[in-house]
Parts: sequence; structure tokens; C-alpha cells
Amino acid sequence: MGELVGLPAYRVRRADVENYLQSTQPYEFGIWTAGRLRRGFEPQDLGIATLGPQGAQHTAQLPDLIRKPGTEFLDFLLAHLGGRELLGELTTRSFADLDAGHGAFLAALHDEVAATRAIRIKATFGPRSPGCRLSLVCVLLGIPDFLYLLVSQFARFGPLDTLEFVFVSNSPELEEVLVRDAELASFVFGARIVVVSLNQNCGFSHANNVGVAVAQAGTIGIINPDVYPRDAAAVANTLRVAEGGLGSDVVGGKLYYADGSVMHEGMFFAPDVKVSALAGAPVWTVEHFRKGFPDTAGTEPRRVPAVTGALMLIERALFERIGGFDTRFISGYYEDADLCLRVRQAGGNVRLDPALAYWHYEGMGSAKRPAQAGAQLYNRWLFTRRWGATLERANDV
Amino acid sequence: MSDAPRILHVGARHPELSEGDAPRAAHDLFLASRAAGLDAVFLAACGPKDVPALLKPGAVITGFDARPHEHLFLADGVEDTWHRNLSHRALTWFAAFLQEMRPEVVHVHDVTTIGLDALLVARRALPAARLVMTLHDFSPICRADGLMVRRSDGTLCERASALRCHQCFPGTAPEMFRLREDWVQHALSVVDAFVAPTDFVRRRYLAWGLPAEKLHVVPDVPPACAAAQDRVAIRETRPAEPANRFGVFGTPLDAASLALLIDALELYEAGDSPPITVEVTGAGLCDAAPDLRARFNAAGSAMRNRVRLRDAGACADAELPARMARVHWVVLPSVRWEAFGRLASFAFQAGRPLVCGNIGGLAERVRHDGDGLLFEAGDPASLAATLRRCATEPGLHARLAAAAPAEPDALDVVRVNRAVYRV
Repeated sequence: MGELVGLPAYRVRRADVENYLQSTQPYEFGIWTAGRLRRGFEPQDLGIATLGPQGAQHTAQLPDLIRKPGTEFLDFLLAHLGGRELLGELTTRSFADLDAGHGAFLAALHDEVAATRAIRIKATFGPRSPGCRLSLVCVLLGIPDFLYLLVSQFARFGPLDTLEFVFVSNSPELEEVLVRDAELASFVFGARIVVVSLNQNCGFSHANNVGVAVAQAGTIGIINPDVYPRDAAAVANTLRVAEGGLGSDVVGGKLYYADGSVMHEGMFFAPDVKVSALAGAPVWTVEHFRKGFPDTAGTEPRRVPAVTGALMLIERALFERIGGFDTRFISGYYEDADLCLRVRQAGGNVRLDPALAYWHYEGMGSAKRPAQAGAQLYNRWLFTRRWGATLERANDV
Repeated sequence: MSDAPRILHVGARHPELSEGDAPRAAHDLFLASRAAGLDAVFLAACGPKDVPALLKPGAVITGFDARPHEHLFLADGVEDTWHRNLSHRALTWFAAFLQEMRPEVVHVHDVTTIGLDALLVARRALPAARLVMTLHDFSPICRADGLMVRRSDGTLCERASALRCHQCFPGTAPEMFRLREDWVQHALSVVDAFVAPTDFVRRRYLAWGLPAEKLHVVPDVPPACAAAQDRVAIRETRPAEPANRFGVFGTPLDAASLALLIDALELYEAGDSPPITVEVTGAGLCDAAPDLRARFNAAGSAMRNRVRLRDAGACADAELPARMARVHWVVLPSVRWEAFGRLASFAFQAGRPLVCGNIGGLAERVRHDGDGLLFEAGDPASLAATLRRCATEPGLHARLAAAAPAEPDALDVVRVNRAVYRV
């Protein structure tokens, strides 16, 4: 076998099937190919042959039938990877496969997709408020309702002139609804709202980084679309913390399930001993303290190893200095823990302040996609490989 | 009338365009308020698809059929999940209309037509005005058309909760109903006073979380039936004994109520009670699904011994007194929670005792064995037994009819509303 030539993955178009089924979407029917090509061997040199019943053979020439893969292929691979994880012990194999080269392949594919990211539109509603203390940055995926809901949930507890809402959408198909709702919410609640619509699902990290870049306040609140203040005190405390200045720290809130049990009061790192043994290399995971337990822990602010990205406060300057969320993670897991570790590496602390009491209707806020489980597995692998050696001590705060 | 306080009624559908008790109750109050000297204005809500001919390009608010104090708010695009008004233009012009009209009181009759956002917009547009809302149904509490009837099994719902609402809408997570309640209660928080037409409705909303000090019980204005005054009364006397003529009414008479009625009549037919005549009046039967309509016809033909069943067709409000005058009893077989039961007012005015289910606002207005009879709501056997008692108990009809409650004077009802308005 030869060396890799670029990214050896292509979509081979089945124009015959498209014609037969009268498909209006080019490449709707086709075959993904991923393989190793010798240097100097161009995809145009490939041919394809299909075997039918009784040995019938159909051959096709490939030039003009191929194109480079994109998000679609990445999602396909991740869905496949995630599907394997559901079979239990295959997590181990997945880690071995990721180590053996699938990880590098996914990273290269992800980079290629990432290179095509762009902002489609940016729309601002409501005047820039001189009293704005906190920009809430919220990434939306698949469900538009949460823009209006999030603003209305803050409006329940008082005027919104100290807040700015920045919504970054990873679902370009929603942009018309989002812009409509942003205008409505700005009018009805008197809120300043910025909507940024991205051209594809750019993942949690990239979308947040875009949101922070357009935010006006010096303090940023990263917030999930399904996270809402419990009461007026929670909002007041959030603004108090923001106004007090966070310095080099990142601060998380205490999150509750709808039934009042604890959803989040900090996270810690745990070795997955079984998988580590089977994979022959350390594998780590991130756990929430007392997840689902009754609300009995103290109300004193405290240091924790990490906090969830569902709600975190950070100075914009610090966020930018450490490079924001790492965009090498794919879409939605471990980015928050990674950011917390980099804040600590830079000399800051990660704090959990229970006075920032919020509901978290976990999992409601975005559409479920088959690629999600695979992205989680990939991110876990990436996180483990990056921090593995240091995680032993990372729970000491 | 320039000194009279201006009351702007908003959100109700116009009774000329829509069926149902709430549009009529709202409009009756508007008319009575004007008669009482208030500067009442009626801004009815109408979707652009309801009556396309009324749509004026570019206009959000228009006149209504050349009536001086009535307008139409073409509130396009209120969705029915969150009851949000999705039109920025509609809300903007609504606010501009409020600011131009400058009412002392904005009396809201329905939010599903104009959107909950319109309340917040009204509050901001008129910070000093008093916002009053009549609770004609349970739309704020219940996403299932505000009926509080469970979609899972058709039973009556006593209270909403995140889990229970999820059971009616299995595709929507419980947390989303929590958010719905937060949102609705936030929007209603800008309302200064709520009017419940019966104590039953007041208790429901109190339990749901509206503050007790904001909740008032004021009955609907009794229907005026102005048109009836232009008709010559052909029969003013009561039909002769025995009291075996029953008039069944409903606006609309829904399928479940109709099914209950037929079940009860089939039980009656199978027994050994004396013969009765049952007339069914109401648009519901005309519009009934073909199978239900067929069942009604079949039951009518099959019952030859004890029950004479006939379809009296739909009728306008103005004809109701005559329809009620020719029967002994007014039967309202509704299996839903009725907030008020406008038909009961007609029955009281006609001096005809009511037979209705023992639930909701209707049951509150009827004194069982005092001025009417209650049966176990939804139970055909109980209804059949009640019909038998009506037709057989000597003196019962005369006693109940004589005790029919006097309907309040419309001007008195306006006076009580004024106390809520504080004008």
C-alpha cells in the first residue's frame, strides 16, 4: 500500500439510480469510498464495477461522477462509530481503531469540513445598551423555539437592559424563523438580541467562539438553550458575579432538573478502568458530582475541577487569550472540560457558585442526530489523548 | 360620551363570524356596557384565513361591517403551541391602535386569538391602563384546546401538570409544558384583574397559580335576545302535563355529548317508563360526523315505544326562547367542563328547569332538586334515570320551574364589571 493522497474519501455518484428514481438531488444515491491510494494515483483513474445476479456486470467510468466528501460523510462516519459504541464492549475496539488511524482520518475530514465554515447572516435587534453587563451566548441546533423561550425566561425576572443575547445557529435552515423570533422577542421583551446564522453545523466550539467574537459585554455567559434562571435572585446573582469581575477564573452555576434534583454542581475526571484495561491505554471520562441527587449540598462557592458548558461565566479577554473553545472537538462534548483545564493551566481557577441557580432541561434544547454518539466517542478519545497524563492530578483543586 | 371611561374589549372572536359562548358573552358585555353609558369599543380578533373577504391589504386593524364602535384585528399567525403572535407587524400596529384609542381599561377575552405577547405589548403601550381578562375557557392552563379533557382517554382533567400534559401530547416532553406554564403565567402577570364567570372557573385558576386577590367572579351578561322582541309570541303558555317534552340544546353539541344522549335514550327506550318526546336543537347535530349522524337517525327510527326523538335543526339565539317554550325541560348533555353555560341563562329566562351534568360552571348555576336536576356527568344510566324522574314525579316540574332563578339585570352585571375596572 502506498501513502495517503490528500483525503482518500469520495462520493461515487450513481447517476443511473438517480435517473431511475427521478431524484432531483445530485449525489443523493451513491457509494462512499474511503481507501488508500498510491501517490500519483488520481481518483479520476478509478473505475467502478458492480456485479448483478447471474454474473451480470455493470461498469462505470468515474470522472465527473465523483466529488469530495463533506459534512454528510463526516456525519455518516460518526453515526457508524456511535452505533458501534452502543454495542457495549465495542467502545474498546473503537478506541483501538481511533488510535490506529481512524482518529487521524476523522480529524482530517473534520478539518476539511471546518475549512468551509462561514457566517451566512448576522442580524441585530434592539439598541446597544450602555448598561450591558453580560452577553449571553447561546448555540442553537435544530429547534428554533428556544430563542424566544430563553429571552422570555429571563424577562420573567426583570428588565433585560443589563443583558445582551447572542444566538448562534448551527442550523442554516432555521435562520428565517430565528430572525423573525429575534425581532419579536426584542420588541415584546425589550431585549437586545444578536442572531448569527452559520452555513452548517459548525459544532459547539466554533459557534460559541463566533458568538463571543460578536458579543458586546466584557463578561460572557455561555448558556445552553435549555438552561433557565430559577428565580429573580439567580439573575441578580449572575449579574453580581459578572460585575464583580471574574479575572482569570471561570465560574459555573448550579443546575437543576425540572424535579428539583441536582443536574450539575461541578464535574470531575474519572478513569474508565475496564475500557483502559481492554484498550491497553488509559481512557478517561468526565462525571458530574451528585448528578440526579437531592439538593442537599452547601451553598458556598467552591473550586471544582471543571464546570459544564451549559452555563459558564468567563471574561471575554481570558476567553480570547486561551483561544476560546477548541474547535478540534466535534460538536458538543468535552469542549467545556477542555476549556476549564486550559483556564487552570493559565493560572485561573474553576469555581462553582450555587447562587447561580438555573434549571437545565437537559437534552431538550437541540435536535438529536445519529452522529452525536460518534462525536461523543471521538471527543472522549481526543480529550483522553490530550490530557490523559495530567488528569490524575486534575481533580485536586 | 366623551367623559365616559373608555373600555376596549379585545381578543374575542366576533359572534357574527364565530360560533361559541365566549364570543357572544364578550359582545353582550360590550353592548350592555355601551347601554350603561360606558364608552365601550369592541376590537374583535379574526385570522386572515377565517374570512378572506375581510382582509384589507396592508391593514392590521379594520372596521367591522360599518359599526361605529366595532373593529377587527386581523391577528395573523398566532400559533397554538405557545400562543405566540408571530407577526411583528400585527403587534406593532396593535400597540399603535392602543395608544391612539387610549382606553382606561383593556378588557381581554381570549389570548389564543391575539397571542400572549399582545398582553405584554399592551402593558408597555399603556402603562397606566387597567388590564382585565375574562377567563372564558381554560386555554391558558390546557394546550388541548383549553378544554381540560384528556386526549389520552377522553376523561375529564382536574388539573394540569407537566407529566399529565405530556400524556395528552406524548411527542412533547414534560419539561416543555413546564416552560409553557412559565411563559403563560409570565404573560398573564401583567393583567391587573381576572374575571371568572363562575366560582368553578375561579377555583381552577386559583389552583393553577393565579393570585387570589386578582380573581373576581362576575357572571356573563344575560343574553338580550333583542331580535326576539320583533317576533310575535305564538305560544306563551307551558305545554300541558305530563311534563314529558325534553329539548336538548348545545352550542355546539359535540360528538361525545350526542353519544351520551343517544346511549341514555336507548336505555330509556328499553325500560318501562312512560313515553317522552325529545327534540335536539343545535348546530352540532347538523355538523356531526356521518357515522354519528347515522346512529342518531337509526336510533330515532328504532325507538318506537318510549322515546320519540327528532332533530329540530340549528337555530339562532333569537329562536331559542320559542324552542324552549314548547318543551318542559331543557337538557344540556355536555360532557365537558362548561365555564358558564350560556344556554342555562336562556332556560332560566324561559322558566324551563335544566337537566345537566353535575360538573363545572353549569352544575354551579343549577340547584339540584331546587330549580333543576343534575345527573352524573357522562353517565347515560344516570341521565336515563333523571329523564324518568322528570316524566313521572308528580309536581316536580311545576316546583322546579317556579323556583327558576331570576337572571341578573345586564346593567347590574356591567356595574360589577366596573368595580373590577375601578372606573
